[in-house]
Amino acid sequence: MALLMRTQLIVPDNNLIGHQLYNELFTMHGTTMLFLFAVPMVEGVAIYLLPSMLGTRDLAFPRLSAFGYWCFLFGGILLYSSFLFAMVPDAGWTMYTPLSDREFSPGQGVDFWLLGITLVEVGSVTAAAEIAVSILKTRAPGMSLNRMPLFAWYMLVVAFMILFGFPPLILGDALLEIQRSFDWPFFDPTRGGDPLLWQHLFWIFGHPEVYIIFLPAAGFVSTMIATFCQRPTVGYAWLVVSAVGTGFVSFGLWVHHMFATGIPLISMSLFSAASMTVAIFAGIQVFAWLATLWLGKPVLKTPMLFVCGFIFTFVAGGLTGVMLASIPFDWQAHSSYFLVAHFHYVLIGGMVFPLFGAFYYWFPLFSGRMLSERLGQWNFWLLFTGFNVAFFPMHVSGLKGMPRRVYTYPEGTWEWENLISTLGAYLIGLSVLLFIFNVVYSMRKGAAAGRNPWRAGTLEWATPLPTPHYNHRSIAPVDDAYPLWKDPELYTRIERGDFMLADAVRGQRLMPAVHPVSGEFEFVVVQAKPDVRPLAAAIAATLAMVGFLTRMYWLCALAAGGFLVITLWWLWALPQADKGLRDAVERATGFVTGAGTKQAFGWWGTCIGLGAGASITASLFFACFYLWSTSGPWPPYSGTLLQPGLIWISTAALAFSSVSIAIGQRFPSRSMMLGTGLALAVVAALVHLFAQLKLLRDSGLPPREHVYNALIYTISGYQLLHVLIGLAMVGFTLAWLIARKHDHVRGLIAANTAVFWHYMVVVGLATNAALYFWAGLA
Amino acid sequence: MTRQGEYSSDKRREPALSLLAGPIAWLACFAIVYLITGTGCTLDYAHTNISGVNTLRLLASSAALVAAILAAWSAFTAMQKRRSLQRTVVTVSELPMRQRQEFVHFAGFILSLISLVGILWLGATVILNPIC
Repeated sequence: MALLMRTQLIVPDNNLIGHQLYNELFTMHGTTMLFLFAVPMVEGVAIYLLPSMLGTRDLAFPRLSAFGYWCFLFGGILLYSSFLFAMVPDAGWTMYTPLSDREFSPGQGVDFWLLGITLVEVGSVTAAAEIAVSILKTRAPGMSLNRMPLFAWYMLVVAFMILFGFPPLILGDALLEIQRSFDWPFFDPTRGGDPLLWQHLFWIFGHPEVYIIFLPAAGFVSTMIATFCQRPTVGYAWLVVSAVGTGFVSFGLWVHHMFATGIPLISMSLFSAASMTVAIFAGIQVFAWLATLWLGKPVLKTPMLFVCGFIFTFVAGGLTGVMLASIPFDWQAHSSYFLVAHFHYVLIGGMVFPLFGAFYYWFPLFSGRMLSERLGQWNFWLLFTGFNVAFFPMHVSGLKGMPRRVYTYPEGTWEWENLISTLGAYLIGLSVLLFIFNVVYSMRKGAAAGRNPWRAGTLEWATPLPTPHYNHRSIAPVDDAYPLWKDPELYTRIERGDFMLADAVRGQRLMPAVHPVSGEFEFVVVQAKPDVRPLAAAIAATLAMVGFLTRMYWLCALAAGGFLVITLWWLWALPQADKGLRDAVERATGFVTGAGTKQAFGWWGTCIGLGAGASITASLFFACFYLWSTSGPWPPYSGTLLQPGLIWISTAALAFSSVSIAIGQRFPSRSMMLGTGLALAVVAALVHLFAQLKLLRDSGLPPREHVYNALIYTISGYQLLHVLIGLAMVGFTLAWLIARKHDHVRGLIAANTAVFWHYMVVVGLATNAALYFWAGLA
Repeated sequence: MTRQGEYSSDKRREPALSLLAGPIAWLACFAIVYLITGTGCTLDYAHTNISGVNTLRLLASSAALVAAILAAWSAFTAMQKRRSLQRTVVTVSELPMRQRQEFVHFAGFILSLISLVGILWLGATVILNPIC
């Protein structure tokens, strides 16, 4: 797609592909690279590498990984199927309103984008939860936080960034799709909405996304640079500090994409200041890498060449980023090719170069062979040259005034710059072809890798190559950040089965769980086996999206119900709940197979998942607050529209349900008490549900008329969705108790239900507070 | 469960979340200052004053000051804890715990220090720029 676009721009006044196809191509190019290439690629590499790098066998939730993978795949297929129906999205990868409203994008291209990308985002968030819990809980015993591989640190930060960064866009997608489908005016200024709300929600996701892509690549670099310098990376703690600091600061930068939208000067200044702060962390990392190169004896093999290319390119892109953080310069360069040059330097320099390097570096892990060094060097130099030839002239054309997203330009303007850029793009294409050839060739005829071919220090190299599915035959305790350098015989000892879980119980997948900070061993986990349920759940989720897309809402409801049933069926078959199996494993290994609720993976997964849920909730209330402050008279009517009495009843019922569950939880060993607490909570939730529905019905507010009405239905609907999920969870827990599967020591299912329920009550109380406040304003 | 102890001897733990105190102070400061200034400007409170000082500027700079104090306190505490660790003598078996604690306090110190710089930088924009 990129080459087609560049070919269109090779000469002025060209009409090779025309403006419509050009619009479709740049929309799909940006979308594909950001959503379907960069994020899945870094998450996929992490899911592949982390277990062996952390010295263990698998991640915490293998079935969740499968679900995330299927969501990625089906989301991508849904998005790309728009080509089959000639309904390709054409409003840019940012989908700015009002361009993406039904009025200006009347086909279904935008709907394909919104629904397909939502599914991809679900895949990203589930993978992030999986990665976060896994890094915290599934490491080799003794691998405390200060001995964790730097790549794991970077991925831990990235996982939390995805968990908090993606939900605002999921909400934005939902609001825009509701506007397009039902005409609720969230982004329509004629009815109280605001198109800038979309930009806020998009960029609250979009700016962290840049670092979500960059930080894993920085993890690759920190790992490879140590190996090729044969010494630990300089400044381990400083690099960790930089990763964590970047994660935080990246959430304070989003408005620097909106400097040209007329927001108050002080807001712009705040974001400008934050944008410059992030350069401190980038600077620390670059100096740590340079110091490692300086103190080591770097060997310039292909992966290292890509690391050097990365440092050069990323620093150049970072410097133009600091320029763009300056408000007057941003106004000058906004929406010009200067910006295109900047973000390609950052994204290709910051992600693609390290990714190529990582592929050359870790290729032996899954193939057992080395990629050709000679072809690799050609690959690097073609890419490096092509990249700079393609993108450097864009700085010039941008400063000379060429706007981005134009399909052609007149003679006598920017011919030379565009010609050179296009030739550079062809060089990039050639380098990628060479890379593909190298992979295909080396898979068959590459030199055998042997054992630990780069003489690396991290544990992913302590396995036979190609790495077996179980990664490590036995799980060695770790007492250093580079265990293979400290003990060169570790490989042999692991393979000889000198350490824990060397002889797994036949047919079972066993791995250790550790304390998140100290890495202290806690218990052995019996992992799930391959299962069709994640695939079935992803199919149901996809069908729900298809139902929405085709306006067959019955299909949507049916698929959502199916999704719920499959998820509960999935949970019912948790291997950890099989007491007979656990006893057998404990007898055979001599280790316990579980500890308290708060050590369990499921507990951590639920809490981290609720963090992502809280991010959607916070984004929704941000949207309410934003629209309240910008939309003029609020509410647009006079008189009492919402009955305060019903709000009080609904609130009291919610509070009672939470207390009831909390009391039941105090008696985990007495199923009767626990069950009674849950049953009373169900009754209270039904009262809440009834009061809320009556409140909405009695208000008589048409949601299409004004954004005030639309928001009342939206936040109430959001709360009711939580109640329905809570009721399903309580029903499941009651069935769990009746089936005598409840184990009062671990009690995970009941504990997870309780924590979700309390969260749901907090959301409900916030909703009612907003409704009560708005009712009071009338 | 005879083998349990072979792999789980280190029972002492420390609050690793203290590592995040500085960045949390920065993020909270950023959110509050943005909320105050953004809402104040949108709702046209730009010209209200308390004792001759612009209300929005006063509120925003107070929030920044509180956050700066918190970040400075967090940096100071982390540094003190690290120094006190360095002064104590540990046995070989306690060394891993000591290294881990030193790592957490050192990282916490640096993060808090950089966060303090970020907060002061943010506060300067509030004090030096026109509010709306």
